[in-house]
Amino acid sequence: MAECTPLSQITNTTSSTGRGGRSWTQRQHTPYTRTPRSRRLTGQGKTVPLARTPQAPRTLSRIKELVNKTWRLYKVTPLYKFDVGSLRKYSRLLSAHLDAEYRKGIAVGVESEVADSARFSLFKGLKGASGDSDAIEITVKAKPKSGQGESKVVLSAILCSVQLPDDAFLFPESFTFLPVMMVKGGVGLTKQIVSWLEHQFDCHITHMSFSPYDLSWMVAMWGGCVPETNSKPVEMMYTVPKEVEGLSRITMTIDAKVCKELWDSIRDPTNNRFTEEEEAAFIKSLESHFFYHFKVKLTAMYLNRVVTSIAVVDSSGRIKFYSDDHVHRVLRHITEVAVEQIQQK
Amino acid sequence: MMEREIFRKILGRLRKDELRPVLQEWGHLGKRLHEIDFSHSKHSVHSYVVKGFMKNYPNGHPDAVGKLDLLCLQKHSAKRTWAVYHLKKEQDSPPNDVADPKEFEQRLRRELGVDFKKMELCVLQHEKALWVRICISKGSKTKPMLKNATYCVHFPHTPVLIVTNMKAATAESIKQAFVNVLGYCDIQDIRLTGRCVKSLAQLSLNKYSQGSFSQYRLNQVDLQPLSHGKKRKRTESEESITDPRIVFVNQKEKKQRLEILNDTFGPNPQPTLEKIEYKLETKFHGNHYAPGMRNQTGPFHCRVKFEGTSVIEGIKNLGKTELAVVPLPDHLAKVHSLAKNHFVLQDKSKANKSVQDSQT
Repeated sequence: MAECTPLSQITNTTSSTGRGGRSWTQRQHTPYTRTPRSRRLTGQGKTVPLARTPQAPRTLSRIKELVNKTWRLYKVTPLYKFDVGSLRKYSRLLSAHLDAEYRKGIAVGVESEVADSARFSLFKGLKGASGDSDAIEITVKAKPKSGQGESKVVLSAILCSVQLPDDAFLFPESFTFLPVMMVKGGVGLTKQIVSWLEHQFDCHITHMSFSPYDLSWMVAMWGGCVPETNSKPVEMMYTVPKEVEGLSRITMTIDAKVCKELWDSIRDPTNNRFTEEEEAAFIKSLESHFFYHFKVKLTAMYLNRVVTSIAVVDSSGRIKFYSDDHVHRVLRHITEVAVEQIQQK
Repeated sequence: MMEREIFRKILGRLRKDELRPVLQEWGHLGKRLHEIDFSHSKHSVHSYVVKGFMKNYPNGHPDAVGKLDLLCLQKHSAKRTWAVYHLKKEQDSPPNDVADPKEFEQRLRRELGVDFKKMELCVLQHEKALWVRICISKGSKTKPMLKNATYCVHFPHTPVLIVTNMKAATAESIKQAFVNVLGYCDIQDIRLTGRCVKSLAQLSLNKYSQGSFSQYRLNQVDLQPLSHGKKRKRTESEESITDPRIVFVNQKEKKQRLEILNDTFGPNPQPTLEKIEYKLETKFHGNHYAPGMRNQTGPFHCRVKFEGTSVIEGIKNLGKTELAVVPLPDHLAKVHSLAKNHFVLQDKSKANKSVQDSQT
């Protein structure tokens, strides 16, 4: 669709800023990126809002709809020529595409519903900073095959970017960068929508998966966030390597209150960023507590799933938010990880 | 008709090759069993069975459903989670054990009939154990529901009872009935759960002959080692690499490790447990990495769960593959001899000593 691949356009125009002083070109020649030494924990904090400035009304934000649902995460490369004004046109095009797929017989036959209409809309409340693009929501509704009854939402996808890190890509105006896509819906339908988006906007959408290292960062950063109501114990689930027959997983669940004590004792409260040393201290202290009691080396197992009071994340990219106050914080981190994973390619 | 649905549901749990032997044991079809062609689809075979039963017993049979359900459960006992109870008796009280299924059923019916007017009771003997199915209906007019059936396994002349699907409403009455029938004074949940009834029985009945002692129980030990000469030892090497240039540096440590593991776990296959849970209430021991926690005096509450197809075997393999440091701590290595899989680990202190004494 595009004349030249957008990705090459991006690489040519980036400045040579990189994390820790490495230039972009240097990063291109090595297969690995350096793991970050510290990550943002709380908000940007650069501009402190004055007492008089009115806060954006919370009622407009639809963040509550994100909570308590399991979403699958995808990472999205920048979209070429995505115009926020032509959302209606995109809705029409996507509906036509889904209809055509169904008629071709490619659509998953077992579904009892026929995907009827797709709608693009703005999802308010997810923008983290002025540099972010507006979040877009795609809802696909379907009527039941019997023809009767109301059409209900079959799939819901949200493309968003929450506080892109400063040193991310700099790209020309024709690109919109919404690196995170959260999808809740059937697999077949998701595939169709992904292929349409890739075709229409010349981007690349892939599953987001988290390595055990990513998950350990998440549990270390959010293990200390305990909301007053509905606090859940912090849980880490490890899968055991296949050579060990008979044992498949080890789960360690820590009471929320004592986890917060541990987190506070490690943390340097003056620093806004969460450092690598703090993350290592958190994880290693828990693993050594485990080792003292069981003489089993948890460091050799794969961290597969992490549960905290504010979210549960697993290595295949499924996420569920528990607290609407902290959705921003979680999505900010997910955006950062998504940008890193895209840059690695 | 409700009976038809119930029969279909129970028969649906069986595989095709299990249908004929189970129906034969059931016996309520009689000669009509030979008329059924088992090569048809499952659905049609079930229809034939139901039809045959209706012809034999047009007014139904009170025990038919219970017996069929119990027979199916015996084939698929691994689908449910079972919990083990221990019956306690006062010293020197006369034994009232029963080994005959009919007598057991009579006694139970008498005991349970006091509290419940409408119930289905069925007792069968299977592999040296008495399998009991108790289905109690809530009201006096409603029929007992299939999903409310409680199943128990009792090994005669032992104080062990293995139960599944016990509903909270009827739990106390059922437990008390067993205590009265068998002549004990109390029943206790020993916190041992699992899916394999055989393994649970092994763990609770053979508590003192697990691990390396299992060799004695299974007659694997040579009682007269000096009576015949030594056979020439053939050195087995696990590594099948025969290149003489390769030298394995840690053979000695490996051998030591395997010896220790063999001593703790024994050479025989371990009983299968699906889950072992620990509740840790000890002080925090990760102080090397988190120095701020050194001043904490309270317990660091956390729970640990080991899960898998056969966790005890898995723990042995953890030691084998060096993912665990050998010798393993007792509460992990000796699970086969502890007859429970829910543990509480506490610091040794005077305050806890009384708690520990009361628990044992």
